[in-house]
Amino acid sequence: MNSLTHVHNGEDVGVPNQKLAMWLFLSSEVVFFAVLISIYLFYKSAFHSLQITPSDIFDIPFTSVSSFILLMSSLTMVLSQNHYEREDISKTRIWIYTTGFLGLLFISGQIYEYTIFINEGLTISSSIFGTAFYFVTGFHGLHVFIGIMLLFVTGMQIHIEDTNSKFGLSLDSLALYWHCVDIVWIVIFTIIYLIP
Amino acid sequence: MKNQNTNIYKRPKNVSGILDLITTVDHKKIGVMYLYTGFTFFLVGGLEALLIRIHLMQAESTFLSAAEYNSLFTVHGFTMVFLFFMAVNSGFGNYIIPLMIGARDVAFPRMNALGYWIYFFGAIFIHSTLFVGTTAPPIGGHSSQGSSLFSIFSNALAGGWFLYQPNAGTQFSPGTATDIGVLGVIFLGVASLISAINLTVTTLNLRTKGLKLMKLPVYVWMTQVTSFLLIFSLPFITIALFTVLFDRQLGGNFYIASMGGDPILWQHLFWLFGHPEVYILILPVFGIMSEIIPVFSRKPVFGYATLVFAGFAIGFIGFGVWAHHMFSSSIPPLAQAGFGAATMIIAIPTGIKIFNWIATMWFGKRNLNVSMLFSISFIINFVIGGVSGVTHAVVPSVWQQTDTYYIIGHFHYILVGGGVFAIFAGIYYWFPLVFGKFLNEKIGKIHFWLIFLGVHVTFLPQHWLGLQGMVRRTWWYDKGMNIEYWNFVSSIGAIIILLSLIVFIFNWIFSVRKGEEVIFDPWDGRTLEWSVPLPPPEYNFYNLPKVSQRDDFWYKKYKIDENNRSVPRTNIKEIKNKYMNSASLDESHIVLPSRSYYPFTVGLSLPFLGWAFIFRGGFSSMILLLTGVLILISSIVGWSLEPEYE
Amino acid sequence: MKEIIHPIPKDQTKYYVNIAILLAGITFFEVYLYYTPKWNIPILLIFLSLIKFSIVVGYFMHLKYENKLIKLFYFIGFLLSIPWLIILFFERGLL
Repeated sequence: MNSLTHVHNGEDVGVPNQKLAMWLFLSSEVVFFAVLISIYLFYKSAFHSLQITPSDIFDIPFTSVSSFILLMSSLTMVLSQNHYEREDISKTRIWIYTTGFLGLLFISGQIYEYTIFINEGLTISSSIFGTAFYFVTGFHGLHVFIGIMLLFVTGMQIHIEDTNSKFGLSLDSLALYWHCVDIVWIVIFTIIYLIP
Repeated sequence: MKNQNTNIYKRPKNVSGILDLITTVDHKKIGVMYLYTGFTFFLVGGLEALLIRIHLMQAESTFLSAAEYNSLFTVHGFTMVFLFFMAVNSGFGNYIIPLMIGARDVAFPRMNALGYWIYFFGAIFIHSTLFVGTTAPPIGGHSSQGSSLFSIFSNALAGGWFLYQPNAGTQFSPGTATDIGVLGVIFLGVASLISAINLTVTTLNLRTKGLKLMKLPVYVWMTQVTSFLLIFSLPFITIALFTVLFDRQLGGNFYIASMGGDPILWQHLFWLFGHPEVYILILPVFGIMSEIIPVFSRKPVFGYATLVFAGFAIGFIGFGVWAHHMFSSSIPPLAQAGFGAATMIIAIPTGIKIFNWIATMWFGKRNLNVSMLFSISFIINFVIGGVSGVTHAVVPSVWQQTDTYYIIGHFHYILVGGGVFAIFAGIYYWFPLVFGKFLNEKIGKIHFWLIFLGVHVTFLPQHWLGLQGMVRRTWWYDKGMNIEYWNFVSSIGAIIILLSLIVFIFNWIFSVRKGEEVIFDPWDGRTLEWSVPLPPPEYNFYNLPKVSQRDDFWYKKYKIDENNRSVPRTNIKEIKNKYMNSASLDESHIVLPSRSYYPFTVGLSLPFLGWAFIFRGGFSSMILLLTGVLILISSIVGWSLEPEYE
Repeated sequence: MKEIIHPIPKDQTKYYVNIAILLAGITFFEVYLYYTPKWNIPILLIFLSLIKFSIVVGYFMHLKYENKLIKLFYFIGFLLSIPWLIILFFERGLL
């Protein structure tokens, strides 16, 4: 019907196409973020001699709250998935939009944090710490932003296509992507913010 | 299907001409488009190389200015690696793999088209630097006094294809040309990632009945390893290129030593992609060899399992040898020893493959047609290049050879003598599949001998030049340095290669028009792609085949007698007729993916976004940005509401 | 692929909320450790974040119940980053 798997009658590895593709993409993303964070660690030993050091500028309570928000968005995402499996479309939609909203909240928190940091004199070009910090968190933020767009596109799909199971798998893939963005933040939060 | 009204825009149906190419999602058409585009860039890159060789033909030459020369060797590298080689590999993969595994299309047909169009517009974006890019002439050295005939090239990026920092930073490479090149390669990386994931899912999930993993043709395995290499190595280059953009465009300090930056980081990032990239280029080519040699030796491939696992071993070790590109940039001695050893070890699986091919030909009934000639000379050239490659595992020797023409000679033996020869072998082998006609054998033999001669005349002397101390990327060498003679010979070789390519293009045009026609199984093939009528119908297989063993199609035609020889089955004609006649049957039960505009439009939006980013500030960039964003968002909306199958 | 008729899965809201509470608790504990100089040890913090990481990957992303092949792909990514980090640190003289 909608994908080749329906007409396919041969050998496979037992994972639906779209899910397999998403996991392959996520394997690539894992390397991507590992390299990203490794660049930060690579330069980290030089940070303590800078004018603005990480421990001067980070506002841990604030970032903890926004980490918590992102963590909870993972919960709402998985709830939306669970409701979708149970064919409860209206709740699915509610949880999808909640997830998107929490993501937006996280992003606005990050933008707020950036403005404060810039006012305090930490910019991309002010020091190697600024460069590495904005590079890593900026790329994560970009991923969150793409995730939010996809969430709203999927919400729109569900509006149009109420009961058809056509988008079932794309919701699963989207959820995988969103959780991936979340776990990356878990690592970034620890390695960049918490470790002295 | 049911929800016609969900489509926001009109869906393309029954279109022809250029719209057919834009909207197609057929893996065969996309494969051919990749091949044509890739070959076009082969000619572009080849002409760039020819200009370089003409310039170096004599000492103290002023044929090109220094700026043009720098840009030419940079663009030559970019074009050949990213725009020609990877595209042609994708083209073969796209065309052949679904046919080899008995599928009607790839797993994600629209994503496949998207991969092509991102590649296409990425290539256009990179080449837009010739018209809108700016760069500065090299600092110091001789002033440019050459002709202005090729001055368009002095707008292109000039930092070398490896973009070493800080040489490719704003201080030494001002202007926008480098940014355009860097962003373009990021686009190409996205395209490669998409097609790698697509081919992986296709290979794993769309195999026909009975085609277990260890019964796949070796070519499928090798592209599979390549896909894994792409999936795991592209993040490195993507991040590396973004750090460069960050430094150049947003004022970052990644590679600015005075601010605590460390240029060595760039080398690590680049070569951790760059070395797997070498295998990304060469592994599909190994696959092509493993298909052609058995067919023209009329023997099953020798040591199937070792070939497959050697491929995996190469892919795996390929991630652990990157620093042998950096032996001269002060990495710790222990790391040098480790990477040197790994470099020697990776020669072992490569050697296994070479011996497998030789053993396949051994006692085979060899058919020395053009395709086979290219295959055999592939082995010869690859061994020459491989032996000079192993010398790079010896660290003190590398200190002597690094940045000399010895390196150029080495990797051109691998990539031209090996890679391009294998691609030509593949073209001669699969041409009947695509067009239903043979490439002319007589003209083909002229082509083969010319290019064989040309490659050796060009690249063999470069080893000697390098050992005599001729530095690579050098625009100027003085008279009386005793290197004029071999430089002259090398340039003559380049002209011979040009002649051979002219012969090849003539052969192509001639054969497409007047070639000898063939309707079924021209080479007595072994794999499933030959079990379809030629050229293949849009749905590939009328009935999806059932497979019970390796080289199943061969054993449908032949049986093995007690002396272990293949004997044609008595009803071979009937079998062939059964496969062929399927073309005229009813096709209504076959579901094919529907055409779509959006892969094209998503690709189209990327250059606009790229230009808007690089030339930001000002009215025109706002218009570019708006155009790009509008095209992108409307395509995403359209795409997400359009079912793949209708 | 065979058609499998799934029974409608049960409401797992409570289950997922419990997991999320656990995650939030670990996050809180991490921040607590940050403010306790005696226990502010990098290894401990990294270990805690790895636990969080595995919980999200294993339960929210269902990797625990997933095909072996997918687990393999995912962990190749990690495998790759380990030698990479070692070499990088080596380069900076941190090891």
